[in-house]
Amino acid sequence: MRLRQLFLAVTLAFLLAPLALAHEGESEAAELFENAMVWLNFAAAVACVIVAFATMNRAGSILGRAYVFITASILFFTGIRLFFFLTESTSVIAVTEATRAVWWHIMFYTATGLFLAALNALRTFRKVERTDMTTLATFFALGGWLVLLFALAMPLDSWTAGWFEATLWDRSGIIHFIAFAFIAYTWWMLLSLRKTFGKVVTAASASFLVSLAFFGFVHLWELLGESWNVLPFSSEVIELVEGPLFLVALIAFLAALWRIRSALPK
Amino acid sequence: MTMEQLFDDSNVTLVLMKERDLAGQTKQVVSQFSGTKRICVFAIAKPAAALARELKSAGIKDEQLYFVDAVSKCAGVKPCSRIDAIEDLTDMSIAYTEALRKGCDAGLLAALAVLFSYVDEETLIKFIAALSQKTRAQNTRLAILTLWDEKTHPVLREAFPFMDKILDLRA
Repeated sequence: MRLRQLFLAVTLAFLLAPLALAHEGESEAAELFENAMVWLNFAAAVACVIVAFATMNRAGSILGRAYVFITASILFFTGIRLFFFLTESTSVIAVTEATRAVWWHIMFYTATGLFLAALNALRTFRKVERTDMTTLATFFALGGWLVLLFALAMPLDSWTAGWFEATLWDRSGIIHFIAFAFIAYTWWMLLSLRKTFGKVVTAASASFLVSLAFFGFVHLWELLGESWNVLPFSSEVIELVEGPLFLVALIAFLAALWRIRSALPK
Repeated sequence: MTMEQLFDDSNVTLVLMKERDLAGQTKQVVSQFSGTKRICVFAIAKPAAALARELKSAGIKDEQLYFVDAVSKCAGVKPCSRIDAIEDLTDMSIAYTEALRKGCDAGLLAALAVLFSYVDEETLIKFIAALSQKTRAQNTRLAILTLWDEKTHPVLREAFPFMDKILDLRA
């Protein structure tokens, strides 16, 4: 069996597992599955950051500058899973469903925006020094923004729930459509870069496209299951499925980063 | 080595060569172009006439050659685009476009490191990016030859993303 087929088979098994567990009433197994997903998500994200840092040493400043934004983007994608873990699995941050939805979407827009900034840095291919202060300052400001989002979730919980919960904002699924717009634009940017860059970089674009598609599936799944309520599954199953979707997205992201790294000379 | 190994499905390959066997490896790479219709050769380190002799010894015919000459003002070679000064990268880039228009389906830029001392990094990166884009747009092939020892040079590190393939000939 080829690696790609194996990847598809494992992905499918992961996605079907929550449905099977819920169908058979295996709540303990479902919890175990959810926890496993959290740790696997973190492991994939940490691997992404390690590979990104390791690639920066081989890349020049044009690619390196893009990698600073990519690394920041990974931190925000990881932040989303951490936020879910702290608000849902452990209730360390006690917030309503509405606040969780709004907050993780803000993190997602930031993560995708950073990925777009990385692509833009490549497109303009402005050469900068490695210690470029603007880039460093941006990186630290973004870190602060992520911490702030976590810190403000509880104090702003009732305010967020007040304007969002059960309103048109919530039921129309507009927050998901904004995410779709981000994903579509990022797809377009990735495809347009193929004209400028060689396969050393663009060979990874297929994996990035897959990764973004799976992030898109998370939003589609939530749109159908939570905003429009047209899926015949319990909210527990809907949440459970998101873990594997995120995991596949992060693994595809990791594959893309690895591909660029292996194409560059040691 | 075959043309297939040199490019695969790629348009632009950066070839990293050993200094010890530079002449042999250059000849090995150049001989892969014998099946092409016409090759655009950049003369930046040696006079075009001297390059023509070397290329002929590697099995390339006279009628396959098109020079972009920044060294010897096209003395003794034809067809050729004359570049007045080696730092005129814009002229070289325009000449490459002209060469592609005149039927060149391959390009050869050897001794890239020579340009390091004449042109600033940013301009050279843009030049490499422009050549790569033109090559991909016309679906032709371009081989850029340089020494393995130069791979840590800032220009080459910045140029990696514009390559389709990086071929290490040290092995």
